[in-house]
Amino acid sequence: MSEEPKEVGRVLRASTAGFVLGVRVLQPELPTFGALVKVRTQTATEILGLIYDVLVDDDPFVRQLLAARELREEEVLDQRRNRQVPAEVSVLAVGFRRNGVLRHLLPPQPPAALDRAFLCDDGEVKEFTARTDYFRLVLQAQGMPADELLAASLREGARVRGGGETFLIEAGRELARLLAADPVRLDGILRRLRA
Amino acid sequence: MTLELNQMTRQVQEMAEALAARLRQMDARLEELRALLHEHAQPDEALRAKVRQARALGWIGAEPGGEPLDLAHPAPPLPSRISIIAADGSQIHPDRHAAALYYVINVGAILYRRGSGAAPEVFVQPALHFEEDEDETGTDDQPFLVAEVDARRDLEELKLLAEKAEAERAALGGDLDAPIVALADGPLMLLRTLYEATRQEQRQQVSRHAQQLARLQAAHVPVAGYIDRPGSALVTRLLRLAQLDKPAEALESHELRARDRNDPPDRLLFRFLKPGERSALFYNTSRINDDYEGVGQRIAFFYMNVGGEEGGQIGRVEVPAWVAADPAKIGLIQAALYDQSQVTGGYPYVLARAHELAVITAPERAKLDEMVNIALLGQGLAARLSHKAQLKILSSGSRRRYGR
Repeated sequence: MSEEPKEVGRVLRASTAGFVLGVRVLQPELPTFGALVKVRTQTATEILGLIYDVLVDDDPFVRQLLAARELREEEVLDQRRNRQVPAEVSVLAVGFRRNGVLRHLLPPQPPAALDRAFLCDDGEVKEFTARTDYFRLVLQAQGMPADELLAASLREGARVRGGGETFLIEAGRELARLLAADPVRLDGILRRLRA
Repeated sequence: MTLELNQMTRQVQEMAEALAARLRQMDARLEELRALLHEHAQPDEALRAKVRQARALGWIGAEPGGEPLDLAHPAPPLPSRISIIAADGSQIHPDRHAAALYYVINVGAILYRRGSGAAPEVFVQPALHFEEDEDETGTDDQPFLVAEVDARRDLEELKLLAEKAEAERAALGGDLDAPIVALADGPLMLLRTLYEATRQEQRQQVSRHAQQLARLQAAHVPVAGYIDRPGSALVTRLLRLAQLDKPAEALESHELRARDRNDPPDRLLFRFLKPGERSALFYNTSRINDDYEGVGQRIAFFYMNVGGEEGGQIGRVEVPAWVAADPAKIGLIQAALYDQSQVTGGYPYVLARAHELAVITAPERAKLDEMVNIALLGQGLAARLSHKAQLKILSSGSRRRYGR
C-alpha cells in the first residue's frame, strides 16, 4: 500500500506563476527549499511547483517570551519541539498534470485559496526531473534565488536516482546550452550542483 | 447594515469619561477599604457572627480563613526540581442551525519538569459529543444548555489533570517527597457554569468534580485554579459587612444584597501585595461551596501578585481546603505560579501553553464542519444548514454597498 502523501499546507494566495502556502507545523517538519510540491485543483489539474522560500511568521507568543527574560532550557525545547510555528511557504509553478499528461509549462489557472498542497514522493520527483523543459521557467523567474533553486531541484533529482551522476551530467549539458551566453552564471550553477 | 462607527464616536467618548470618573471615585473608596482591612486584620467575634448570620441569609462574600486579613506572605523558593502540570479546555458549542447537532470539548495539558532540562510533554484530548434525537433536547434557542457544555469541559480539564498527576507520581516511583503541582485555568469551583442548574444538578456536578479533586489529594498533588484579572469583590463585600454598624442578629438580607457601584474588585484592593506575595486565605460563602464542603472539598482562595509589568498582576488562586490547610502545599502552589509567571511577564507559562493546546480556532472549526458534512453525505444524509445559517454565511462576507 502506498504511503499517504504528506501535506505541506493550504494555498493562501496564488497566481499562475506561483503560490504561497499557509503552514502550521513543528519546527523540524518545516518544508525544505527546492522540494517539489503538488496541488490538486478543483479542475482536475495537478499543479507542480518548487519551494523557493520558507518564511517563519511573526509569533506573538515568542515575542512575549523574548521580552520577558532569559529563557530556560525546558522552555526553549518546548517552543522548538512542541509548538507549531506559523510559516508561509512560497512556491514557483513549474508544471502541471492534466489527464495524466505532465507538462513543464505554467498552469492554465492558479490553484484556489485553501487548496491543499502535498510533498511529491520520490517517484514523482524522478518523473518530473526526467525532462529538462522546466529549467527555463526557473532560470527566468524573478525575485527569488533562481540559480540556487534549480541547483537544489537537480540535487533532489540526483538523490532519488541514488547519486544520479549520469542525470547530473545530462542536466549540466542542457544548462550549458541554455546559458551559452552567460558562462559566469553557468559556472555558478555547476558549482552549486557539486556543493 | 454595517456598524456605523461614525455614529458611535460620541458614545465611546461618554463611556471613557464615565469610566475615568468612576475610577477616581473608586480610588477614594480603595483607601477606605484598605484601612478597614487593617482595622479588621484579626477578625473579632462580632465580625465572625456577622459572617455566620449573613451566610444564613444567602450572602455571598469572603469568609476569613484564619490568617490576618492584611497578610502579605512572600513566595517560598521553588524546589530545584518540580513537576508542574497544567490543563485548559475549550469547546465548540452546539449550533442548531448547523448540519448536525453536536458539540466538541478539547482539553490540552502540559507536563513541565522544571529543572530537568528536558522538553515538556504535551497532551491533547478532543472529543465529539452528539444527541441522536435532537428534537427531544433543549429549547428552541439552545439545543443543549451552554452552561452544561462548559461544566463538562471544566470536568474534563480536571480529569486530565488528575490522570496526568497520578501518572507523574507513578513515574517518580511513588515518591511522595518529589514535588508535583497541578494548575487549572480559571476557577476550581464550578460557580459560573452551575448558575442556572437546579440544586440537584449542582450537587451532582460538584460531586463529579470533587471526585477528581480527591484523586489529586490521594496522589499528594496540590491543585489550584488560577484566575487572571479577577472581577469578583468577595473580600470587599466582607469589609462592607464589617462596616455595617449593627449587630449580627439585626442584619437584613436587602442590605446584604445592596451594592455600592464604587466598590472596587478585590484585585485592586490587594494591589499592595509585592511580586510573589499572597494574601490571606478566604472561603467563598456560596451555597455551591457548601456542596463542595459536603463532599470534603471546600474551596478556599487567596490573591497573589504573580509579577509582571506595572508592579505585577494580581490574580486569584482557588485551592481545595486540604491544600489550604497545609502551608507546604500552599507554598508550592505560590512558588510555582510566581516562577511560571516570570517567563511570560505576568501569566503562568504552563497555563498559556495549555490554553494554546486546547484552543479551537475558527479554521479548525470550519474544517470539522466540513468533515461532518462529508460523513453525513457518506451515510446518505443531506448535510443541510438551516436557512438562517445559510443566509448568515452569505451576508457575513465582504460587504458592498451600492448607493445609499
